[in-house]
Amino acid sequence: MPSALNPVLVLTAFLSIILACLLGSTPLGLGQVFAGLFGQGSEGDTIVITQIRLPRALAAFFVGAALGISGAALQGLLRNPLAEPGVLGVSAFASLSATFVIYYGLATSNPWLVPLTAIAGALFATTIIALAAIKTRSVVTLILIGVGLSSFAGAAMSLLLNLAPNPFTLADLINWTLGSVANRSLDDLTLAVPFIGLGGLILYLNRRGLSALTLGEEAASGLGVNLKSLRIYIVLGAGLATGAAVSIAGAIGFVGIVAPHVIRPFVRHDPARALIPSALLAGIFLVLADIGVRIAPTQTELKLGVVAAIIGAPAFIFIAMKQYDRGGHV
Amino acid sequence: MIMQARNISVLADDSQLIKDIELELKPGELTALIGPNGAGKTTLLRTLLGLIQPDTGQVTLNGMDVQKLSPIKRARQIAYLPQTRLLAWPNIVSDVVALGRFAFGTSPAKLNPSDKALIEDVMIACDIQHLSERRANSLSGGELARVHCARTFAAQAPFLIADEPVAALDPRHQIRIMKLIKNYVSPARGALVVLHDINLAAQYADRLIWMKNARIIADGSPQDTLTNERMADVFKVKACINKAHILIEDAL
Repeated sequence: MPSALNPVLVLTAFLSIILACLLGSTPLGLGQVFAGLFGQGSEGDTIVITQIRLPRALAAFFVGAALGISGAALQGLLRNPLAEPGVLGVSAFASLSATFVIYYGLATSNPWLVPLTAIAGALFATTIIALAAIKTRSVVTLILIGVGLSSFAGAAMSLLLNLAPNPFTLADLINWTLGSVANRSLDDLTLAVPFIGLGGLILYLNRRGLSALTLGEEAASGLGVNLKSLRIYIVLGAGLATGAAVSIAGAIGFVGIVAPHVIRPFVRHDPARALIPSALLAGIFLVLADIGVRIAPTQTELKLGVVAAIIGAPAFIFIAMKQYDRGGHV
Repeated sequence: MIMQARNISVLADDSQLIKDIELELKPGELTALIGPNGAGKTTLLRTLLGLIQPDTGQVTLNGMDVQKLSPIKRARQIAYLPQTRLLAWPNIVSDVVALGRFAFGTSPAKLNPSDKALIEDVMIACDIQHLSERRANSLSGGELARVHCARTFAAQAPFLIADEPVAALDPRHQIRIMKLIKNYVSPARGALVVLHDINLAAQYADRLIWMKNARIIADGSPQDTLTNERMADVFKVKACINKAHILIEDAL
C-alpha cells in the first residue's frame, strides 16, 4: 500500500492542477487548456491559462507542499502531532517580517527581499521553538510558546495596520495577512520555489533521524543520531520552506497539521515515510481549496487562508482531543 | 573489544554525580550495576556511552576515546536501552525493531535481505514475531519490553548497556528479559545492566558493580561481593543472604 501511495498522490496532484486550469469564471475545455499550456490556443485562452490559472494553481500546490512537509518534519522532531508552522507561530513571524519589508516599500528595491525576510522570520521562530523543545518535554508548553509567538507577531502586525499611511497600503497588508494565492505570477514563483525545494530537500535528507526520534531523544542518541545537527537541519529546512511559502501566499494555517494526520496511518506512522506524501497531499488540498475559493458564488473572492483556517481549525481541535483521549504524552 | 573508564568524574552544579570511576568491561560478562537511587548509575551509563562528557578522565573503546568517535561509529559498538520506553507514535513492531539497525544505514522503509533476516531472528529470540505487525501502543508492558530488547539486540553490538530493563515488569517478565540478556552475552558480547532487584542481579550477573554516593565501592562476582554488611552499607537494609537468595527483612 505505501508503495502505491506516492504515485497515486502525484497523479492526483497533476489532475487537480489541470482541474484548476479548467474551472473558473469562464470555464475552459480540456482541449483549450492543453492548447493554452503549449501556446497553441487563442491568445485570450493562453493568457488566462499561463498568466492566471496555472501560476495560481502552482502557487497553491507549492505553498501546500512546503507547509505539509514542514509540518510533518516538525511533528517528527517535536514528537507531537499538533506541531505545525501555523500553530507554532512560524508562519506568523514569516509574514510579519515580510509585511514589514512591504510596508516600508523596500520590497520594490530587490525582488529577493520579500522571500528572504520571510525566511529569516520563519527561521527565527523555528529556532525559538526548537530551543524551547530542548528545555521542555511538555507538548502543552511548546504549543503555548507557539501561541505566544503568534500573538506577538499578530500584535506587531496590527500595529503596522494601525499605522498604515493610506487605505491602499492597508488593503495590501490585509490581503497579505489573510493568505491568498490570487494574482501570483510565474516570476513570483521563481523567487520562492527554489527555497521551498532546498528546504524540502534538507528535510528529506534528514528523515532517518526523525524515524529514530520515535524512540525518544535518549534512545535516538544511543542509536547514533546526532541530535544537535538533526535539530539544526530540521529547523533550517522547515524555516526555508515555510518562509518561502509565506512569501508567496501569506500565512495559511493548519494544512501542515491535517495532511500529515491523514497520511500517517498509510505510512505505518513512520515520520520519515510521512514527509513526501504529506507534502503532496497538502499541495492537493490547497489546489482544491483554491478552486473552491474561485468558483464560490461570493461577491468578493474568499481568501484561501480564511477557508483553510475554517476547515483546518476544527480539524486541529479534533486531533488535539483524540491525542488526549489516547493518553497522549503531555 | 574492551571498554575502559579511567578516573572519570562528572559534576553538575556543585554536586559530584560520579567520582573517580575506574572500570573495565569485556565481552563474555553480564555485569549488573547496583546501588540506591541517586548513586550515579544512570550518569555512569551515559558517560560510558559518550552522551555525557566527563569533567575528568576518559572513556575508551579499544583505546579510542568515545568522545571522539562519531555517534554512528559508537552506536555500532554499544547498543543502549534507556529507561524511557514510550514511543512517540503508534509504530508497527517490526519497524521499531528495525530502528536497532540505524547505525548501519538501515531505515524501516528500506531493509536489505540480511537486515530483514536479522530482524526476523531477534524477533523470534525475543518471542515477539507473532506481534510483528501490531502497533506498539497496543502492546502490554511485558510485550513492549521485549520489543525494546529486540531492537537493542538488532544492533548486534559488542556491548549492550541497559538502564533498568526490568523496571515495572511482573516477576515472570523480569525473568524472561534477564534470560534474553543472558543469552545475548557471548564470548564476543558483553552487557552492563542497571538492576534494582538484588535477587535478579545475584542470579543472572557474572559480576556486580556496587555504587554508592557517586563512587564504585565494590566490584566482583556475586559470591565475593554480596554480603550482609555491604547490603547494610549500600542500600541501608537488613538482609539475610543464603547463597544467591537475598531476603530483605527491614530498612535500616
